Amino acid sequence: MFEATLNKASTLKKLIDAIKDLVTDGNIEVSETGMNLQAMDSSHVSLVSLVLHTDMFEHFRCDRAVTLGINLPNFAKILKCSGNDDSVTLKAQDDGENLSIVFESEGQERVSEFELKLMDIDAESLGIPDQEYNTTIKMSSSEFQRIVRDMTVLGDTCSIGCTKEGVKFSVHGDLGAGHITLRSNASVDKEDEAVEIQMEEPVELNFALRYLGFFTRATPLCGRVNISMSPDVPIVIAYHIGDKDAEGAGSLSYYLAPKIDEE
Amino acid sequence: MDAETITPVTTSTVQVPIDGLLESRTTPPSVRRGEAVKLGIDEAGRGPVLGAMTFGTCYWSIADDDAIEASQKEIDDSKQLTDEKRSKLFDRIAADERMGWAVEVVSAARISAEMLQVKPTSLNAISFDATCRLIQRVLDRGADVVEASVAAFVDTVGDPDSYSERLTRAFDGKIKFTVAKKADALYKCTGAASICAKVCRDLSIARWTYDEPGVDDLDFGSGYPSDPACVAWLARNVHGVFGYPNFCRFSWAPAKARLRDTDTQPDDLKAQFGAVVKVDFDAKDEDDAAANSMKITDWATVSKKKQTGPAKKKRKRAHFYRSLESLTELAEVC
Repeated sequence: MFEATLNKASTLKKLIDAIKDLVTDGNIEVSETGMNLQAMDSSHVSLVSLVLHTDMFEHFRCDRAVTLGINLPNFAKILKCSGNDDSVTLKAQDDGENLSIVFESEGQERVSEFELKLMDIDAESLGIPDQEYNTTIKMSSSEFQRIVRDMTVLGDTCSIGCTKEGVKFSVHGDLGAGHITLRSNASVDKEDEAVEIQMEEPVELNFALRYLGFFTRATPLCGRVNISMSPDVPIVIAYHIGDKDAEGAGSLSYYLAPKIDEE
Repeated sequence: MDAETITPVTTSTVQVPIDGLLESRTTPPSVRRGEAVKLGIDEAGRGPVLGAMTFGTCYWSIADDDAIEASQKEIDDSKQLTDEKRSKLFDRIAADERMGWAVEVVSAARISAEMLQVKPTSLNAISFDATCRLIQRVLDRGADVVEASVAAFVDTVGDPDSYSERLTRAFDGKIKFTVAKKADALYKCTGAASICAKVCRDLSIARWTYDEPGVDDLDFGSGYPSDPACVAWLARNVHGVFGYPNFCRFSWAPAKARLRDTDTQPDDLKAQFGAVVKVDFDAKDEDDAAANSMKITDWATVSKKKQTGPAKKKRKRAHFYRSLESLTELAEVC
C-alpha cells in the first residue's frame, strides 16, 4: 500500500491546478523515492513533468510501486475542498480502485475524507534525454507570467531570444508587434526580481503563447522560474516546489517544443 | 431588343429561383432612353422560420408617373390585398411595359449560412446588401435612378433616417432615398415592389420541392413560428444528424431552440429530439497553437508502458467516462 502526508494541502492544490488545464488524464507513479507524473498535452507539443521527492512529505510509505491513473480536473475539484492550512494524506491500496484523500485541519478538529475513482490510462512513458542547455535564465515567476500575458494580447507566437545583454521576448500579430527586454541584473534589492543569465551562445526560438500561458499557472508555487534553452530542442520552464533554492524537494517542469520556421 | 416579341411572365409561368435574381425580361423603353427614374423597394418573408426571404423592386420613368398612377390605381400595400388580387396585379405589372421590376430571392439556406458563420451577418445586414444589389442591378440596366423609396421595418432596421443615410452613402449621394415604415402604402412604386416580392415569396413556398431524399412534408402553414401548423412541421421534420431540411432557417430562435434543448421538450416530442446529438468540435485554437511546431515525441523517446503483474481491476478509460463497471461474477448479472 501507499500512504503519504503533506503538511500543506494547498501546495498539492496549486500543483494540480497548474497541470489540469494542460493534461486531463495522467498517471501518477508512486515508488519508494517519491511521486512523479509525466504527461503530454493532447497535441504532443508540450510535456509536463512533476517530481516530488519523499523529503517533501511529513510521512511517506510505499511498499510497492503503484500507478494512480487520475483524472486531474476531478482531482482538482476534490483538492478545492481543503482548508487553507489543512494537511493532506493520500492513500491507495495496491491495485486499488480508489485514491483516498484525507484533509485534517491544523488542530485536527476537522477531518474530511474523499475518495477519487482511479482509471487505467494507457499512457506512453517518455524518456527525457539528458539534455545540455546552452542558455539558462533565472527570473521572477510573476514577471514571466506578466510578460506572457502581455505578449498574448498581440499574437499567438512569441520569440524568446537570449544574448549577453539580456533576454528579449517578441511578438508579431495582426494588430502590431511587441518587444520586452530584460537586462541581466543580479544585484537588485529584492532577490526575487533578479534576472540571472548564463549563456554560452545566443539563441532565439519561437513558441506558442497558448502553452506558455498554461505553464504560468504554476506561478503561485514559486517566486522564481528557471528557463533553459538550446537550439532545436524544447524549452524547459521549471518551478521548484517548497524551498525555492532546494532543488532536492520537488519540481514542476514544463517542456515546450519550438515552432519550426515555415520557409 | 423588341419588346413586342417578348411575352411577359405571369404568375403562372414565372420561374422563381431557389436563390438569386429574377427580373423583368425587358427594360421599359422610357428608362432605356435615359429618363429620370424612380424606384421602390420592399421585402417579404422576414418573419417566417421557413422558406426564402424576397426583396422586390419596381421602377419607372418619372415622366410616366402620372399615367401609371392613373392606370394602376389598385396597386397598394401587398398586405392589404388578397392572394388572388395580388397575383392579378403582378401579371399587370409584368405586362405593363412602362414598368420594370426585379426580385432578389435569399434562400433559407443562405440566411442560415450568413447568420451562423463565425462572424455572423445580421438579418438587417443581409437586407441592406440585397437592397443595394437590387438598386445596382437597375442602374446596370442603364436606368438613371434619382429617387428611391424603401419600405423598412423601422422597429428592426432601426432609425429610418440613418438607414436612408447609409443607402445614400452607398450610392455616392446620387439617389434621393426616402425610408418609411409604410412606404408600400404611401408610394406606388414601393407598393408595386411589395407585390412583386410577396408574389415571388408565396410562389417559392407553394412550389417548394425538397432536395433531401425522403422529405415531402409540405404541411407547414404560413411558415411563421406562431402558426401551429409550422410548429408541428418543425416537430415532425427534425433529423438527428442534419437537423432540418434546407427549407428551414436554422438561425431562427424556434429552430435553434429545438435543436439545442432537447430536455425542455414535452415528452411526446422527446422521442424525436432524443436523436439530436450535440457535437463539440476540437478547439480550433489548440490546433492553431500547435501548428508548425516540433513535437515532444521528436525529442523524447517514447515507450509503451510494460504491463506488470496481474491484470488491473481498475476501469478502462472508456468505461470510466461512461460510468460503466466490469462485472466479473456471474451472480451479479443474474
